[in-house]
Amino acid sequence: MIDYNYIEGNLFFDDLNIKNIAKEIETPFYCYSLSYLKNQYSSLDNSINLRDYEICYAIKSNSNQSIIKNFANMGAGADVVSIGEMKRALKANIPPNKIVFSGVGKNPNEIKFALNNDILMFNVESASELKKISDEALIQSKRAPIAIRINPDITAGGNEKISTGKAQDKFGISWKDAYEIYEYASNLPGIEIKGVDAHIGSQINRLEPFSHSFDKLKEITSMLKDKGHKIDIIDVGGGLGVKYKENEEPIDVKKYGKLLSEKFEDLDCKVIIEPGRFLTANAGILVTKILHIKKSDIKNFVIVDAGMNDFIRPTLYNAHHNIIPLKEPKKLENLKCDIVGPVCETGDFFAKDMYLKDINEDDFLAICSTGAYGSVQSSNYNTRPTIGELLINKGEYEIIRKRINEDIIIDKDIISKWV
Amino acid sequence: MINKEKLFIIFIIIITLGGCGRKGDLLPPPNLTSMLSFNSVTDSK
Repeated sequence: MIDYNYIEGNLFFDDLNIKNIAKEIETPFYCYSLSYLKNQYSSLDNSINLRDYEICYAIKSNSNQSIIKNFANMGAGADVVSIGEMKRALKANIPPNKIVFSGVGKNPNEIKFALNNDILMFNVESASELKKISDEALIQSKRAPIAIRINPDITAGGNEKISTGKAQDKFGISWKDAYEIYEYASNLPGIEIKGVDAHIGSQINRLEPFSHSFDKLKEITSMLKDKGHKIDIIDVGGGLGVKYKENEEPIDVKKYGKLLSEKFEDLDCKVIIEPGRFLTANAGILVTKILHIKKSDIKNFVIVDAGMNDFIRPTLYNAHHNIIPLKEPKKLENLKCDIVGPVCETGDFFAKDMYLKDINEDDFLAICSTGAYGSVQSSNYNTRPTIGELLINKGEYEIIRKRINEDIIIDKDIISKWV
Repeated sequence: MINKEKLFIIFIIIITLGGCGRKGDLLPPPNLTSMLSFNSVTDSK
């Protein structure tokens, strides 16, 4: 987790006094540390000791061009789930042969675009999708490189957040059906089987689920090879957990890399890893201003200028994010409060029943660990602006996405001729 | 003559109809947030 230090009463994030930025840039805004992004990538890259591997950054976690370009410069590929993300990856100079295309609902236009650009492979999630990819490949006189996403049936401690490998979720194909679908794929004229893919879920902070998943992938690979299929790529997905809470123990990336290397070193395959949150979550903070403090006998509310439209993880997943004031608290008294936004929904909150010391209206707060699944999940609900994004590097900052104000949003509407 | 019971029913109907077009401040069921959290399985990486 990134260090947040108070120097002379002000919060410094990556050697920059955030309060000074908040005076210059309209709040709320996202702020990312370049050094943290680089360190996270290097720590993962250095932990892996395999002959052939690719770190394909999961662009959905934070798709700002500057963030993608940074990872591209460090040698990363990309894991994309839409034509938009594919265009973002290509624009940031990620070579097409380092792009994997995942997701359950690829549309014909996206399949065509991916084939046109000769991406590394499609991670396929259904037989129907296989057929459509094959048909489009034949139109382009190509054979589409594919892996099939297999659910390895991993359960780990009943954590709902790592449950995407289960049968009741829409993702992937059951482990039991793996052989059949690979047989089907091998008979489609527009398909070239390249590998196998699995992704067991996200925010996994223990090694055991990964270990089980890797074993299952090896087992499936071995079975498929025995049946005569050529498997050159093993895509292990993402899911590396990060520290959101003080008492949370994040995954030890060195141990993860060691495990990955040991499990796959004897296979003559390229290994793909698809980290997202691990690289970006703790690189970011969301800076917001306190608009009103509303006290009552029953409940106190600190109403800030960021809303659930800017950052929806607490509403959507009940996710915990530390919230700290930019001004170092001097007084000791605590205000027990909910920190809420201005959106017309009771679900518009960032923290419930938390204690804040020495806060006043017009003070600024930092919502921590918001670099992943923050800005990318934002909306304009309540005709609220798309907020800005900044990148911090060696005590300086740059705007990497301009704020899109309400006037521009309103101007996108077209008044019907019937009204 | 309209008796008290009929008046009460008319009152309830007016209140109900009046509430239909109410704007903003949506109040989801009290447990909506936890329902969302429970049901929303993310495929994030």
